[in-house]
Amino acid sequence: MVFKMNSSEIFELASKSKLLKDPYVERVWNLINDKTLFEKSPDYLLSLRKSLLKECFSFFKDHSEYYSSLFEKLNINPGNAGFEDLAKLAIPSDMLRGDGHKQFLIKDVEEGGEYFTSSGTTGKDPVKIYRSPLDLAIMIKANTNLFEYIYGGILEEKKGVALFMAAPELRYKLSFVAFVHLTLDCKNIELLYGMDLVEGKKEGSQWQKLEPNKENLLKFLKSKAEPKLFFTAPAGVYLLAERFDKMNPIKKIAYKLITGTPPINLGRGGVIVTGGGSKGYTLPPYEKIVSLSRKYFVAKDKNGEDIPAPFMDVLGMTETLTAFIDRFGTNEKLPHPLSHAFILNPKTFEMMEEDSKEGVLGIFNPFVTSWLELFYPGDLMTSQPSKSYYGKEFKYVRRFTVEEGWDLQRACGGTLEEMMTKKS
Amino acid sequence: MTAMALSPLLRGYIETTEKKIGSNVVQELTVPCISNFLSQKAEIQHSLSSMPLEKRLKTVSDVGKVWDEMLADGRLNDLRESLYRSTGYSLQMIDLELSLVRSALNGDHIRRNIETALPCNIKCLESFVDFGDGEETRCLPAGPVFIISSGNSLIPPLIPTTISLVTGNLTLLRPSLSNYAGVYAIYKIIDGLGTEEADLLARALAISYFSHDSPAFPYLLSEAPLGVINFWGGEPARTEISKYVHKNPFHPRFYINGPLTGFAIIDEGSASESAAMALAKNIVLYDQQLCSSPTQAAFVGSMEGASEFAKKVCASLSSVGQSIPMKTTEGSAYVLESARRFLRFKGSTVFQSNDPSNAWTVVLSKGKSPLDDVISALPEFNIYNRRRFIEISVISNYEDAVDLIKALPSRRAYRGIDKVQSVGLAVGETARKSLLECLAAAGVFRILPLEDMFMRSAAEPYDGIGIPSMFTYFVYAREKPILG
Repeated sequence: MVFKMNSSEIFELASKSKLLKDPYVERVWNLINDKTLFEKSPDYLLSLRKSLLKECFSFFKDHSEYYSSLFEKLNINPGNAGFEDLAKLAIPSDMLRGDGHKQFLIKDVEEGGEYFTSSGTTGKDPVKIYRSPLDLAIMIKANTNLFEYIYGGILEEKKGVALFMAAPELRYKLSFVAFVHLTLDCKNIELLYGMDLVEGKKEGSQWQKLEPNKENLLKFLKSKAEPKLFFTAPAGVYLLAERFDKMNPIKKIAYKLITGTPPINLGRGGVIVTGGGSKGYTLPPYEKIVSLSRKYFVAKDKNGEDIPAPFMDVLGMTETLTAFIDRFGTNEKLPHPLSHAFILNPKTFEMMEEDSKEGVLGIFNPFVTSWLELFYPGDLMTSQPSKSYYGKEFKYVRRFTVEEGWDLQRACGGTLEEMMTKKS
Repeated sequence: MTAMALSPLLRGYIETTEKKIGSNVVQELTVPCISNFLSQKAEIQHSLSSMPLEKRLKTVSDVGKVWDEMLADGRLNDLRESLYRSTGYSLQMIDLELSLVRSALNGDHIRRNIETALPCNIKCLESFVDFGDGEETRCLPAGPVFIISSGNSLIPPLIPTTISLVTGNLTLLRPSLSNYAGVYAIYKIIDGLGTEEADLLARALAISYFSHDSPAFPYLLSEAPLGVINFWGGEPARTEISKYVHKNPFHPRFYINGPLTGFAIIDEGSASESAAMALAKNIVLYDQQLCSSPTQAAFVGSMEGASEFAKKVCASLSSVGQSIPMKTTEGSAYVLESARRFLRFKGSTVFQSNDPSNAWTVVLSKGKSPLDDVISALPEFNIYNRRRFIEISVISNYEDAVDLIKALPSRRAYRGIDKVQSVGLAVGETARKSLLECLAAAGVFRILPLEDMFMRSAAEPYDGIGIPSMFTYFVYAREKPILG
């Protein structure tokens, strides 16, 4: 049974979780609520994650016959487990398509949570993940803290307005939308959805499409509230900026009279937050998107001084509870302090320690309580040293390209034909 | 990479249109040119089928001899590189393939193949042969023959083409793009032999690539005065070509050699190191792209016995695979590793090599194979992309192995495959005897020792039928009335 909950209801339900009585889960919950994690040293956090790894494995061994037998089969003893075991245990995200996630859930998984699915743009079954109420609460806390760290300040309660270029229905489908919605809900910040999901029926088949919600767009553009937070896929901000760029002067004046834009003033603390990939559009490099957009989006710092509109980009997948977030010009992508990100050699799938080499991103989130969240989503990334709490930053390179294979037709009707003796 | 120009091979009047296909520039024969070639049917087929068979066979053998000389003195080095690039096989695999050409063109082997395919003395390919009581028969070319050949290796196009020529047919061959240069180089040799017989054989042969949208295809398939069309390959081309052929007013015979695969059965009593090596060798050769390559195995016995055998197969794969390195790409490594994990996390035991040049995988499964689920999530891990990958299903009796063979074509993991062609056996003698009829009833074409299931005897039919009988017909003559 899945409920449609707001953030208070999620916290309420999470607080009643029986799992909180487990020392490991209790520790996780306390750590997730600890904002000082972002002030700790990389070494401290590394050692913290290592100890969590052991407890986490032990927890899943006790709560799941599947993991218990898997650890045994792979000769992994939770008490001695280390980061090197992550390379062996990481699952490909493709395993989470359809009902694939079910097998990984613990036997006492708590009901009343939500399902999130991927957009299904790959043509395969979408990835579908169940989040228990406690995991949802952890998601809100962890992502809010990470977001605020990268944003460079606290999102003040009831201050500002946000526009999300998505339809409200997606709050219950896409985890990125849910994370933004619940974080803002938690902060009592008004969130406007810039799109409507329109449904129709043609020749017996149901269709859905997204259309702009002009009322909400206008409301956001005209709002005097500060900061203005603009959440969108990179294509959303790029297409809007491009539209302004190509507008003839007369139309520009008319548009300005109606909406007061361009430019779109995001005010003090305003920010553009992108996420969700290209959505099928062919887009220029991110730097180009930023430079074009900054012609039409302006912002101010805390002191009211004009600054180029800040850009943050969120790398989140359905299957990770917490995102990776970067701030353009300041830092590359950073994971949550408790999330262990690692890079695997793309040919051998062994752990790569060196920075700057392209490899397969692996993610281990020891704070997720319903399943052992340890996977690789199929993205190529590099790491580089960082002065941040994490000691490393991660740079997105690209999705894996998978060839369809040889064109060779399999039909020789025989074999190493003939008649084939080399004795002739 | 510079574009590789693929010219047609044809004696006499040539007219072509040029096309760019990927990195290749292709010169296709035009419809008028093909029509002109086919108009010589009566004259050439009559001359060829009147020529003594031994002279035809000697000419083919001579081609093989020259080929070997060219191979030995390095004249084929550029071709070797070109095939390496176009086929995706390793250089070592290409070397092996080039070395086998001469055997494929061995006149003695071809004679034996014809002898076993035709029901009477092969002299009937030259003249009427009396088979008793004044009854005579003469075997004549059913062509012109149009062969659309497969792309998995260089050798397969040689067999039907050579048999078609030797049985007296005007022959038009459309090779695959990946092997075109090799096929062209082989038959080009006929031109230089300088004998009367070679001259006639050269006139009887046309080789050209035709792209799928070439006007030559609708002409050849639906309009041309062909006697036989022989298509080697799978969907969707097979169905598309069938539609065209049915319109042809000359009603050519239409033979399809569809995609097939191999299967190995090993029992616990025969699970020796040599059986393991045999399986490994068949897996490594052509990276399982042959229709005889084992892509699944059944182990009749205990899980412990299967595990022991799997370890022996792994050791053999490590040694034999090293000598023929495979090409891996970033994408193939990713899909392979994901599939391995999928299988492991679904309960199978997975043995693997992390050496990218010999990335073998042996999977032990009991009960329902999780491989079909893997394909649902990772459709890229289809049979064409699975290299040096074998799933050994542990079963308790031989009947289960036959059931696995019957079920194989309907499995997602084998989509595109018509059925099991070759079954390699490493079982006790009693089991072998009892399996023969069951496997035959299950529709397989070949039952062989596991050791050399890739080897084809000269006497073997091809996928259930002798090629010489595909390309010929019989004229019967009787001197006396039966009711006389």
